[in-house]
Amino acid sequence: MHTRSSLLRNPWYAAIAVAGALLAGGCGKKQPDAGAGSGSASGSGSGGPPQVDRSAAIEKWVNEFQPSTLSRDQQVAELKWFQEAAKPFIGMEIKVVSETIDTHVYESKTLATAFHQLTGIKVTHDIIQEGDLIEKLQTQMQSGENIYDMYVNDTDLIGTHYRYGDAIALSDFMTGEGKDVTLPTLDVDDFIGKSFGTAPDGKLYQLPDQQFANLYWFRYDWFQRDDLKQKFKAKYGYELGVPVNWSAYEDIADFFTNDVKELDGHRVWGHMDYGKKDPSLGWRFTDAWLSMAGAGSKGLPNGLPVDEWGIRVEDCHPTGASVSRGGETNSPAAVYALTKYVDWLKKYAPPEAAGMTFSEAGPVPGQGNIAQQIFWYSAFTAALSKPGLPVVNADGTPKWRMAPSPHGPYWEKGMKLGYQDAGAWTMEANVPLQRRKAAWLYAQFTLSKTVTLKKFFEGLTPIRKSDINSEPVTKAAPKYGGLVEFYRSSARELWTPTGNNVPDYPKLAQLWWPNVSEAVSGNLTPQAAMDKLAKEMDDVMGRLERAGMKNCAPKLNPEKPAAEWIGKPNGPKAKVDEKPRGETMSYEKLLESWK
Amino acid sequence: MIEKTRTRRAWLLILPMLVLVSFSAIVPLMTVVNYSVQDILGPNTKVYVGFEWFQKVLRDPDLHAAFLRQLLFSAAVLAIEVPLGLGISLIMPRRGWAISATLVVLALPLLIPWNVVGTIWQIFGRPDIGMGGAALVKLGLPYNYTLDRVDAWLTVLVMDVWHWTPLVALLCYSGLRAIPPAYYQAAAIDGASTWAVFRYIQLPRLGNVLAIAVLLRFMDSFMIYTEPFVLTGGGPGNSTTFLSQYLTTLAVGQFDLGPAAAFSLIYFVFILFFCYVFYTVMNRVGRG
Repeated sequence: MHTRSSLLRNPWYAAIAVAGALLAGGCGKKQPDAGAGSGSASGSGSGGPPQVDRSAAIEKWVNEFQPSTLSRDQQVAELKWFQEAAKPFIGMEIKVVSETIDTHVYESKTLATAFHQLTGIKVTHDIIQEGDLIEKLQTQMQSGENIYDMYVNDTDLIGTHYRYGDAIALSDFMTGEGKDVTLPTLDVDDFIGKSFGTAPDGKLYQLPDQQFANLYWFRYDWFQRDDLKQKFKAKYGYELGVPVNWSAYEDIADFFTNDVKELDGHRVWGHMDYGKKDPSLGWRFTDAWLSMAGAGSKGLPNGLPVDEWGIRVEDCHPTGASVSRGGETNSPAAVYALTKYVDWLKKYAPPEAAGMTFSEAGPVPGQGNIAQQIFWYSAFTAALSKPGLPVVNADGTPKWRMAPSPHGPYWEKGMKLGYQDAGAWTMEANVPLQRRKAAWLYAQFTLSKTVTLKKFFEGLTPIRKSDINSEPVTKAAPKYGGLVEFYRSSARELWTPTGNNVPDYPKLAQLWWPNVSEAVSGNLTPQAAMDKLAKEMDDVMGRLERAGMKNCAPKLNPEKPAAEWIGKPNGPKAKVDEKPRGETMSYEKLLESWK
Repeated sequence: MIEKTRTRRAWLLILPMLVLVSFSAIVPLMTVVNYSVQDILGPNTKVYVGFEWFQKVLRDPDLHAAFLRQLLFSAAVLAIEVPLGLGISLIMPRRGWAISATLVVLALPLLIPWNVVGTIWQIFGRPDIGMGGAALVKLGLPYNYTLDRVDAWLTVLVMDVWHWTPLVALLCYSGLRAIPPAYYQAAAIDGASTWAVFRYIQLPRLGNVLAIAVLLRFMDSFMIYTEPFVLTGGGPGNSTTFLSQYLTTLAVGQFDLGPAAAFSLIYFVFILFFCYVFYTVMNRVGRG
């Protein structure tokens, strides 16, 4: 048996040990703020964690985390709390993961480093594509293997986590086994997306770390031009403005693509979208497109009994997606939503749009030839506000604005209107308690009032009311094209993620894009594509019913003739006049109505 | 008696290989077989379903269509790439610096990663900014591989021909170089025509090389995934969705392990069967 002393008696081992010690010393000099992670390793021989004065780290990082809604003293107090709470975990290394957006890049590069230097817990914060993240999460769920200690996972999966019972209820954790590591000033009620991560049992499973909405985007400068306003009114009989309904959106799209055609010597288009057969084509629909047309029931954050995917739930049990089972996935409203998507893509968008994916189409409005986009993610705000772009004025203000999305003819007051992405901290039950506690400390650090306002300016994905209503945000608002006004208004409550009705998000979401693609190619009619999709969703839910789930497993309704469901109270909606008169309103009036 | 002892030792010597193969192939294969008879929805949510997934897969009309598409694609690939590669090898230089230059140029497409090949053709074929696509549009052809199924098919096929014909050409070229000069000298003495040299000397001597080329191109084209996935995503509609994309969507996208495992086994048996048939036929042709 080799003991430490016998190893050191060998001259080769001794030489290696000396070289290692020198290297470790060198590294330590290069990284004076490396924190206790490295300190713990070098100090392990003398027994016990090293005594590191971390007050310098607090001073350093408080300067970084400006502005903040907290006073400097309050920030220092919060950071000291983290240092105290983290003491049992000094030297621990944890792994967390989130998707690739600016907010998470800031967390990964800056906040993870800060947390390490402040607390001595080393964090590997991986940034990967959302699809890959879901894959990792599914692997962890199915294999029980601990891949990550916590995930920033979209709250679209709230119904999945709750039903499989794989996630820890954070509301229980905060008052139970994780009480000693829960920040007293976390202030969960300050989170604008708290309801998104709340399951049917009323418990909070996912706490939002970033949020962005899917809104209507338009060229404000073009909409202000008198020549275009007059021409539009002469043709359609109403003012050119922010469309309130889909009829107006369609008229404006037609106007710019087929009547205006060119502005300042450039070809312009009245609509932008994407249509390549790709998993991202599914997001175009699963992110509340059917509810924008008016499919689904009233209720917030998601329709009950029928949600924005057309899944019906009775007493928390999904009962079907097909109209024949009381769902709405192949209802007249859903078919109308798909029909309009295909029509507008082919008639009003640039020809290359049909071959683009979500990420390829995203920057296109910034090139300056798109008049409006009905399905635009506010996560692109920063990318479309960069100086020098054709859509940005010389003074740095945008030529565009964002506004609430118009709704289709099936939509009724009281329904959700659009989609909001909410990436939220999620804790898997199969992670050992000590690792969960350490990861939860880091998660709270990224959510603490000390850092969230700074984080907002890095990624423009607000999560706290206190940040949105703060003075620094008021000052910066003109640069963000309506983002701040939207988040300050009560209108934002109509923009919500996918909700509790979806029992297995990864399996069901994957069914959308192949079927939508068949409608885009003309291989199937919109009705046939939605019929096929609804049946496939029912099949998956039937399998979940057979296998059983921990909570609220599906219980499919028996199939009945569609006539027995359509038009009935709380049933799928009957066909309506799909081309009512277009309605618009001026952007200024819209802002007034939000105050 | 001595011979018997030697035989036993030989078995012992291949034991490490058997252990390695069992870990790298047999154990994973058995895992797939195990998955194929279960509906796996979560760590504690598994149901034994017998042959349900096999029945479902074999009756799925989308998979039937993808299978026919795959056969058609492989047939088109072989019909174009094998004669073209053979033709190129016949006109390749036989001496001087031109040999190296030709070999480098031919090898270039083979060195490019598959996803990059897809990306190159995705941009090259775009009707607005792609050199190839825009040129066709300028010529008045209504080309758009993202919307038109025929255009999509042709683009995927041309991409595969561009990518893999050099492999066939290089294999044939090496086969041609291996033919002893005595055969050509005898043919010259007999006054044989170029066609006769090809028909009675080169083609028979290339039999084994062509069998390898056909097998390699068949197997690769039958399992094609990355290039069409990047280029068309399998669209428009399902027009360029091949079997491997179905499998990937099931296994990785939906994480639907049961049906994906059943499909993998059927897919595996098909490839095995086709390879066996090809190999047997080519061998007989070679002997004949």
